[in-house]
Amino acid sequence: MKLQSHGIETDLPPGWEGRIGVRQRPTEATRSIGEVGERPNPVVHLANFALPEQRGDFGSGAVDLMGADDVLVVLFEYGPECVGTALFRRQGLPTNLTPRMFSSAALQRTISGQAGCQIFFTEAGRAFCSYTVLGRQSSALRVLPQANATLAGTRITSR
Amino acid sequence: MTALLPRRSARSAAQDPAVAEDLSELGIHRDPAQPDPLGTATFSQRLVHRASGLFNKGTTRRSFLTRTAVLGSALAVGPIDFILKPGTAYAYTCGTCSDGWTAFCCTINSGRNSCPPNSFVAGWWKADNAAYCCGAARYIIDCNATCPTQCSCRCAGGSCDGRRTCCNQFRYGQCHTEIACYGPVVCRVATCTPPWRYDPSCTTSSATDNNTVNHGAPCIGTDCGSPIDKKYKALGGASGLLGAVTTTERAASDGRGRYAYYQHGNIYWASSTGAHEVHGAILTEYGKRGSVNGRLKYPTSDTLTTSDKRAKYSNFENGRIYYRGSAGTFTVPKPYFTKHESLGGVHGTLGYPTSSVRASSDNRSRYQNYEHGRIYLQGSRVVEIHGAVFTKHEAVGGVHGALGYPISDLKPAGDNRGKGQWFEHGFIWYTPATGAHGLWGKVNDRFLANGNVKGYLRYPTSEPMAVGDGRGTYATFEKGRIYASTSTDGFDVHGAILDAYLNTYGGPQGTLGYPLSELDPSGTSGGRYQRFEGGRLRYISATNVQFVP
Repeated sequence: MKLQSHGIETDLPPGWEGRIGVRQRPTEATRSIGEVGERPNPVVHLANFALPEQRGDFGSGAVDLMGADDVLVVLFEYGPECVGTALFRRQGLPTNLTPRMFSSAALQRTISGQAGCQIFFTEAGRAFCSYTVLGRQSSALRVLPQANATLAGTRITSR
Repeated sequence: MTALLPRRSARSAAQDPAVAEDLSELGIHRDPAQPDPLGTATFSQRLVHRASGLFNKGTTRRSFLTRTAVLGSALAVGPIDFILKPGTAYAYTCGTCSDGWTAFCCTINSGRNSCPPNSFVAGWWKADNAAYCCGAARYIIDCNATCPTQCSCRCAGGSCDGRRTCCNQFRYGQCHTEIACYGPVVCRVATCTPPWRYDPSCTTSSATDNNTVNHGAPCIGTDCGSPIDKKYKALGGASGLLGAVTTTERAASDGRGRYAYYQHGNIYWASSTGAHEVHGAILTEYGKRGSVNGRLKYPTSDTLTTSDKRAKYSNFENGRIYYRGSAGTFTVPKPYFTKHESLGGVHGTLGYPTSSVRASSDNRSRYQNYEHGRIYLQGSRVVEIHGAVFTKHEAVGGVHGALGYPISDLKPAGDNRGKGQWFEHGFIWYTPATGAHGLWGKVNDRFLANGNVKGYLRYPTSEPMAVGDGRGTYATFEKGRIYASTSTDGFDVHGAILDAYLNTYGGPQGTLGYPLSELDPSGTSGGRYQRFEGGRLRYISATNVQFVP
């Protein structure tokens, strides 16, 4: 299955699901969702398990449901002002994740057994963070090929 | 005082093979000096950590800690690791610490809701519809450790119930993007201010996590820009007078104002009063009086100190509460307060309150005691009584005695000498020379008829006293006496007549008995006489009084 939106396209492997979305931009009338001037950017969630409807942009709500062989890939985009800064100096979407890149500490919220990996990069003049969470760190060798294949099937084009 | 993060000794890959490699070229910028704690753990440590996750389901943090500690003791093969890496030991022993999220900065930074030293604003997210921000979006800003990381993973407060600090190597990434390397999140700042205004290095690219909308801590209050917030901050916030928030700001049940509770006091707000704190014994007293729903209504001042430093007090819409340490804490409600203030307050006639408002035993009044007197409230009448007059009134039975209740304040007598106070059944008259003396009954009636203190007798020097014959009473005055009996009205006897009446004729128990008239005025044709039950006395001169049968 192919997902395509906001200049991001991905081919989902069998058993995977995903979303590409942009949250509502706040206005004067919607102060409950933020300040005017705030800029929601595209967020991609790809997972080999069923994603819950209510999710934080970095997977909160979804990571709580992960089993040992589950993996979640998040692509979070930043504004153009980030392009060229030190944090985003890497060029190109990472497609070759390895177990040594993961840490049980590299999680937004520590959940016992899980491990995460954040990679900040620039692709097609757009700044992103890829955040991958493993349901069980010890399953890395088994599940990372799936995650890498999913990332390899993802293309980002300039806007 | 600046809170410093627990320092950890710098290590390098060359010194310690457990240190993770630098992956920055791959776009992984987490501090290489912070290895994966479980990546270098022994088998037993992994087992303890895994067990903590299992125990964590359906158990309390404390019971989990107890069990894990036992399990850890049984399984840990290399306890020296824990001693050398105390921060990591926390993580192992406690598992995720609380819910696995990072602690709020105010819990680890001396109450300050800001990034502590050796950390930087590294990114942010928001949660929508936040009660903490009165329905607006709430922003959580991560403070990540600067590289090289100088803190160790632990649970805030040294308890497994505390959230994590310096553990989660995660970065939201919208702030200070000129800094690539980041250590773990030391703590989180919670604010209703958009991050790009909080720290100009932050971009407006928003991330959302509504699952965190209710994340709180005792030191986190609402931040609505409300008067209560401003007052709380002006008082030093969590590290100030009131301490941490215990009940966030909310509407009062009277529908008029708002309040918030803190560790050491409360703040109340109404549009007509503004926001004011109430704390300590004054707050306890305020609570006993029903708080905003009671008689006092809303505070109109913070806690103040009297100019003589003897007391602290808070003003309220309908009165004041004084706190004087072991001497007690007392409410002075209106109308007592208004009367008390009109008499100079605590520095005036009555001094400090020494009791709460009480009901009199006859249920005809309520009253409040002060150092030098009392205020009575009967219906709408508010009357004070103080000093020697108060002492005398009490000595003659108070409101239950011959005089009954006061119905006027003590007032100047108009002679530039003394004062008088009117009671239901008489008066008390006072001069410094004569002291205070009460008059009532027939004696009082005559005294008033004769012009009271402006009459011939001047001020009383006694109360009405029994003659001792079972019939009569008399009172003494500066210039004479008044005698009355059960069968005769009161009449004054003075001067040469009084001398003769007492010394020659034996007074009321002598042959003359009780007077039946006043002395005829001077100039009366035919002479001046005063009639008694047993005859008349004729006044001829100051040294010549004659008996006339």
